[in-house]
Amino acid sequence: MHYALLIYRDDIRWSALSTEERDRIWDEAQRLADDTVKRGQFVAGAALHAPATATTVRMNHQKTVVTDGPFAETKEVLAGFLLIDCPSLDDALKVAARVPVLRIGGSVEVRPVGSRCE
Amino acid sequence: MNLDEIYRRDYGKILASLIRVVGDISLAEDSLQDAFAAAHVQWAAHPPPNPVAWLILTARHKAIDQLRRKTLAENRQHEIRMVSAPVEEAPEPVDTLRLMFTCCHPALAPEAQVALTLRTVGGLTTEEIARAFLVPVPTLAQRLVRAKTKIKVAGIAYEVPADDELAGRLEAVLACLYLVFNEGYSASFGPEVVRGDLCAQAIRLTRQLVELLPQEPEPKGLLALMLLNDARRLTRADAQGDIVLLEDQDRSRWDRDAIAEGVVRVEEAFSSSRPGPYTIQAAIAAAHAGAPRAADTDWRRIVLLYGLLARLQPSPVVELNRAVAIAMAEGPAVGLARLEAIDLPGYHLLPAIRADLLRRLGRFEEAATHYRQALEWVKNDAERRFLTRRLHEVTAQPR
Repeated sequence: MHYALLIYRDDIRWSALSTEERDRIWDEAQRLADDTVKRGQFVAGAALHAPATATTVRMNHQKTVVTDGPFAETKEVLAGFLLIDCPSLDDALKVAARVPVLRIGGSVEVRPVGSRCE
Repeated sequence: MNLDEIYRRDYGKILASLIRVVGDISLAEDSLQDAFAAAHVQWAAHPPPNPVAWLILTARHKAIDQLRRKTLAENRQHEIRMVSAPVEEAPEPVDTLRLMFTCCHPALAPEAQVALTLRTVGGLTTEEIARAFLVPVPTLAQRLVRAKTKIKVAGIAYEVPADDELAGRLEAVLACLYLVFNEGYSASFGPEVVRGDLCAQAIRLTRQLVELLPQEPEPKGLLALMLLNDARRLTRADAQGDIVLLEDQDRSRWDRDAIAEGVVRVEEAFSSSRPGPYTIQAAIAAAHAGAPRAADTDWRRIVLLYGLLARLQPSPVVELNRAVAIAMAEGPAVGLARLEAIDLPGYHLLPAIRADLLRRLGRFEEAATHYRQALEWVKNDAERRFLTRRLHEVTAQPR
């Protein structure tokens, strides 16, 4: 079973951290990812740039419309994701619990992944 | 030629060429500032034979110096690429086009597109742009930083779009330039003279775009539209800042040279296979500008042009303008009937126009009702004073 771990971080607290603290969290995140590779769980994963660098595509009257943003003023932003292969949700939750941004007020949303989800 | 003149004329062009070589807008901007500063000191003694080439080369060296201060491996690659870039005697025009398309990428918010275009292609300072758009300097500076970061991080290419994408992307560039123009144009009522400069900036940049894309009709159409509107900008308000209607404007004060150029441009653009929305609007403006007196206006032609525009860009605002033209061509009663089908909630011009047509039909009481509605929705002070004056006129009429 595949699970997506959607990692949200509190950007206000994140930007208040020192470079060393941030490096520590990055290193820890990297170790977690390496560990899932070792256990044969890792499928994919990536860190995401800030929402300000995002671009949204919509369809309006059969025409593609590209806009800047989103600029929803949320302090929690999607910072990255891990896609892992685990036998059960509990195993996925165990990995989720080790995501380092949890320590600075972040959260991890765990979602099962399917080929067609209803 | 002195340095200030070169800055005004060539800043955007030099920057555009530097960005291609340097690969980063902020770094290119900083290097070019350094190069101008160096020129300020060094040219006093020995002005170079080709000042623009000197500035390009010096700015490149400044960029290399900046990169050397960092030691990352990728910067070495970067540096090698820059050192090996061929020497340029003059900026390549296509770079200005690349810069315009980058600044006006639809993935950037419209206000960011405007700020970035004026800052880079236009060479305006952050302070000048902030003043013109009535926003605090730090807000505008932040907007520019964010836009540049997005271009870099999101990987917006420094390219002229391919032929199959050109039309859509060109639309965004034209919209951005028109936004700059309208910001200046709508400010002509009031003391903010500085904002009128935005019209001149928009015209200058659109003129550049016409030269860079000579085969495209819509930039010519937009240039014509701007020239024709700008030609009567100063007659739209009286000394008190009150609105002077088109029919009452002093046509001898219209800028004849601008009109002549606008008419030539609109004819060029209109002769293309499919005139676009800017070209059609310019043709409408040309019909007004070409009438020696208001009574000579060819309203039937204007009605036809609005019909074309409505087919291309169906919108209630276009329908409203068409109804006004129909009222002028066929009488206020016909125009009034056309208004029935138009729905524009909260838009003051719909009741204002309905009121005006009723007034001309002598139906003063109904006119007063609609003037009051328009006054509830109007935001601009000059328009409010105008509508108030009209309301007084109709309520003073004998019943």
